[in-house]
Amino acid sequence: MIRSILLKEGLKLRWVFLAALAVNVGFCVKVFLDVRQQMTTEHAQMVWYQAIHLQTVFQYQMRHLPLLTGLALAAAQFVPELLGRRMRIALHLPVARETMLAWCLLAGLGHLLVVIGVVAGLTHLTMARYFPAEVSCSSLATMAPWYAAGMLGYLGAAALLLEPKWPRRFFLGLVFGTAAYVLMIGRGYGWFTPALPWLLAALPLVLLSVFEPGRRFHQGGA
Amino acid sequence: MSGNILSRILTPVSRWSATILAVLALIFLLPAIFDKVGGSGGDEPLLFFSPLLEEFIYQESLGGHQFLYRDEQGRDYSRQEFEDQLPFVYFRNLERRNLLPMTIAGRAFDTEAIAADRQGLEIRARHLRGHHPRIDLYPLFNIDPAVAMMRFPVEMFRFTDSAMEFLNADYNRLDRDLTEMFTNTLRELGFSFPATVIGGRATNLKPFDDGYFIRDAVGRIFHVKRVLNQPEVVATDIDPSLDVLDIIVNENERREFHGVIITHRGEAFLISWDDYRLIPLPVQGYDPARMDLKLLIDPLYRTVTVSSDKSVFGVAMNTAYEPVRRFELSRREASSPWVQRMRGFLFPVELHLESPWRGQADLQIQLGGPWSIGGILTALAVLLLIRRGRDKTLPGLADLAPVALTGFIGLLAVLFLQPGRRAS
Repeated sequence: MIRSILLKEGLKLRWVFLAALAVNVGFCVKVFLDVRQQMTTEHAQMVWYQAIHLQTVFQYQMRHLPLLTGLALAAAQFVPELLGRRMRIALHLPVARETMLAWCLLAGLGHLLVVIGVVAGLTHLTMARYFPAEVSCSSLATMAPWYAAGMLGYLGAAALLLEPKWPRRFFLGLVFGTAAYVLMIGRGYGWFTPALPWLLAALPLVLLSVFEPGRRFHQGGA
Repeated sequence: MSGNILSRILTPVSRWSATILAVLALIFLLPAIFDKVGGSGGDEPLLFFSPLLEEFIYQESLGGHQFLYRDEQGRDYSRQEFEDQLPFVYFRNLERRNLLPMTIAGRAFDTEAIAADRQGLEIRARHLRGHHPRIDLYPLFNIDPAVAMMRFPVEMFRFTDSAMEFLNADYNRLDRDLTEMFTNTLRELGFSFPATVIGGRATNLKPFDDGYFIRDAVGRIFHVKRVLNQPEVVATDIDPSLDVLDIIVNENERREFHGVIITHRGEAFLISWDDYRLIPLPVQGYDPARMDLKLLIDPLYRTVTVSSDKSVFGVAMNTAYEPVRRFELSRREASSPWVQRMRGFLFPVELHLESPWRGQADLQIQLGGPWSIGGILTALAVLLLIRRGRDKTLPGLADLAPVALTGFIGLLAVLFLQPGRRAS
């Protein structure tokens, strides 16, 4: 049954996933070309100076991409099910509601993590090619809250879509919107790094918080 | 059956998780909105020592671009009168009004004399080591007396456990020759790797380059420069037992000192230019983690001011750095007492991520004052009334705990996230 759930989710997600992957990889290539162009048009030491001392984050243009990817994946996974009322049928399959929802979410998060992994890998390759290891490591730490925003966006959108009542949906939107905003307010490299351990502690709460809207959806808003 | 057990466990866990997240988001968001609406914050008072009055005089922000100019005795001044009391600060304005040269303490000062003997230095807590994200790679300028412009070097250095490594930006590779040359020079002078503090200014927007002050693993401080591509290193006699937090280099044509050493204990020492002798600044009570320090030098006095969120205190010194006058100014509350009480009533707990003393996220939970207790009790009463009115029930622990801890914020979370009635 779990294999069937994963196969179903995979089929639902494949086109949006491939599109999101293409867009993310496209931006990685753009960042690479931007840095390469800057290295050839300016003195390399001035580009290092910008990266190291002026705290220029070359991949800053990509900061909203993980969030948008998470939102797109959640929409692809849950909107058709909710519009076609197929979710209610799925919830009556011979598998516990929480188990089914957990595997749905893990399938979505898995796809998101693949995109994040590819972006992190490509960004690291670009930075490691042109800058010392300290700069490429700092880049990954700078991007960590953006990736967390992607996961939060995915899980938050799932909770919002499953939630049957509008006032509560609005409230959850405010909560997850605030959390996503916090993850994006960093300026310069490593701004969020001291708070990362707290972020790691909060992410499981976000995952767990989706089950209550799932139950309410199943039980008609109760 | 196992599904039911899973559901019975996950349902309350999920509700608690959502409530905790909601409370965390709201204790961050709502106080920020309150500040936006109610208005908060004001400029830091500017405290100066007036050589004419021979006492402190200050500019204080009243909000809305309104300023108050006052001296230690409480006498008020207009803006121009204020500037007139500070001829070494506003000397360009005095020059335009043909008031220079001016005789002060029996000495005549013209524009050139004042400009040549002024120096300002500001050390903000948020820029100190450990309070700001920093990548430990630094350009070491190559000092060449024949070249007027300070060319940015193509190499940057870092310290490892056994070497001072130079990396070439053109090739993103180690420069072995420079690495060997500087590492050997440091070793010959007894440098213990790795470096623990590196202080210098990685910019060519300065009148000259004074290199870096580098503290080694046993606390000795070395002055490292690169002159005509060769290492020029001085092993200073600065006390190795100093618990150095940071070293701030300040290149100034006066060449009176190289910079300032700040220790973890809140001591501040100038490093004298000629012999690396330490000149202590009288900054008792200075906490570098949450206070900013300014040093203002003019032809007659040196004034050090230290500002915290509660007050600004200043010490005026003579040219030998002997204190001649002290003054402390409490900072004006930015908002009215009514607004402060309202804030405490509504927000018993606040979450802040930004701090004036740190250049990166600084997660802080701030508790409200006595008015918060009133807010919590009122929120609990509202919860009881709503529960009695709606369901004729008493709230359970899952509802009471968030409200008892966070007042109206918890109440909002509980009311929005409480289980609903089953749809027909």
